[in-house]
Amino acid sequence: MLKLTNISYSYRGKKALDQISFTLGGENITGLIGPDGAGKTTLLKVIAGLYRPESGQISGREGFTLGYVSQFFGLYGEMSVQENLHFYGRLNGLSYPERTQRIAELLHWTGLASAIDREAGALSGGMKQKLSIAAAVLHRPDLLLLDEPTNGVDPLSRREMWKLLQSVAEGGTKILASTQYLDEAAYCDQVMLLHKGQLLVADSPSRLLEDFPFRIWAIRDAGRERIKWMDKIREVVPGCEVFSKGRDLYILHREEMSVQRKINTLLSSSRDGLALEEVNPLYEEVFTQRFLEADGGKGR
Amino acid sequence: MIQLETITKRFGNHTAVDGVSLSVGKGEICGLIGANGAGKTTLIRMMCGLLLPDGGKGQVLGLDIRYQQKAIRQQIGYMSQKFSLYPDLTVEENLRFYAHLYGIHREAQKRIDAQIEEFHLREVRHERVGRLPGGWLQRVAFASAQLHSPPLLFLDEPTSGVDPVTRRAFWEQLYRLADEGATILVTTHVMDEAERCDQITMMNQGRVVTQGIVSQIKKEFANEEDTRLPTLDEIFIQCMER
Repeated sequence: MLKLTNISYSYRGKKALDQISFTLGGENITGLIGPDGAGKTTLLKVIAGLYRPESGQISGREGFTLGYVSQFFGLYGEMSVQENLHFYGRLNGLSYPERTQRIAELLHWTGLASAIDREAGALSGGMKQKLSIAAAVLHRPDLLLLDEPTNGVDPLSRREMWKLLQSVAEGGTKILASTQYLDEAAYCDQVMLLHKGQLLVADSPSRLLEDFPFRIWAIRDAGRERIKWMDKIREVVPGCEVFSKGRDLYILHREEMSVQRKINTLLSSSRDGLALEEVNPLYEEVFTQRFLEADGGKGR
Repeated sequence: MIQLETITKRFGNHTAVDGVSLSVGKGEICGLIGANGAGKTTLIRMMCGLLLPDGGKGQVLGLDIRYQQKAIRQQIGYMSQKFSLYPDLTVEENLRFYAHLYGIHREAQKRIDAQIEEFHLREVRHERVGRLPGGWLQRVAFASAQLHSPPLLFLDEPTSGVDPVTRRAFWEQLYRLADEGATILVTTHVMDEAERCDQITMMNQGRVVTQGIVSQIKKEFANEEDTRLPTLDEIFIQCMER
């Protein structure tokens, strides 16, 4: 277990991490979720030991091994897949028979077996990423850190990446992966929400959905009238959060009956035939609400 | 505002865009969805008057994409994913640069001042863009893309990497623009952005794999045994695996 206590780190006079505390190693997959500039990379680098925090401490490092996959391809482009893996195996102190066996296992498991003699630099983006992960888990680390492994790729590649990470976790290596995509919480056993260097939430994603204190209603197909309705609803129900997603409108509020009644009255007075429907929260709404609250307690 | 009929573009042996048709009306927000290499950028470049199609025909703002490229370029706004701003110039200098680029000269200062007000940029007006955090960059880029009040806006992953509160606010701004009559085309591979469009066109290997209003596409792809409608992510994956 790796325990972080009150970790702070400044970069160019700006607080990049502000009093972060949590424990890693209990859950199989932890997602570090936050937008660009939230401090995700900095936190991963502090955990990896690449940055020294200006205050706070990390305990449990002794005997705890790490693997790290950065956002950038860090292997040797002019060496083959196999050569890269042998090289990193040696760096990690694996003997020849040990690494031969482990490399065969990883090549099979990542599907890179057919590419062993290809130059790493000539691989596709997805294959490079798999190779980076294989190289980072050669020594069977306790924890694998990944910096935005799904950034900029399509949903199919994202799903495949999380499947791969799940199988890494099943092999005994815990995962800490950062992402800017809120819905990827669904793949995690624990999520940490990072915003402007602060840890807003650290909890299991299913509990976050269950404990969400807001009710959400949708008005389907408000369509091109959405702006008119948004303005009207804000007027009638002050303090509610209203937003549009395509042709649908969503309304968030802590209270129940009065809000529902007010909006229903509003809708029935129009001839658009629109109806209010209660819906279950999505990760996006749960997290956005936390961000809103953190941004000066608007918490509408 | 956009009418494309079986547009095709080849680069050597590679067909980047293969018979794509698209129709976007005034005040609509259309999402162009696809993985990297699906042909989105090539298609956009043809609509912006930057690239000639090899086959098919099309009109943008009533102008022919084959013969009236220059006129199209003057009437559209474009915001690239990387925001294409000059880091060494201040916010105001960047806006002035874009004003001149769009051919606004006499009215430049007035338009710049208006954009600075509208996008709440007053406090960073004289800051160098390279020193601003991501959320600000997005605002400056968006203000630049609209200096000339274009009736048609092309946005490439406009909210990639921004925090969800900013994203929600940005989309409300887009809906207001659309409400006032602007037509908006958004390219993205993030389904979170796709969900927010009025209609989407999903592309794979240069072809359209599905097209229409998001809620209707979801119904089309619904599984009979499942009471829940599929997410766009799931639909995308289904289309790719076909």
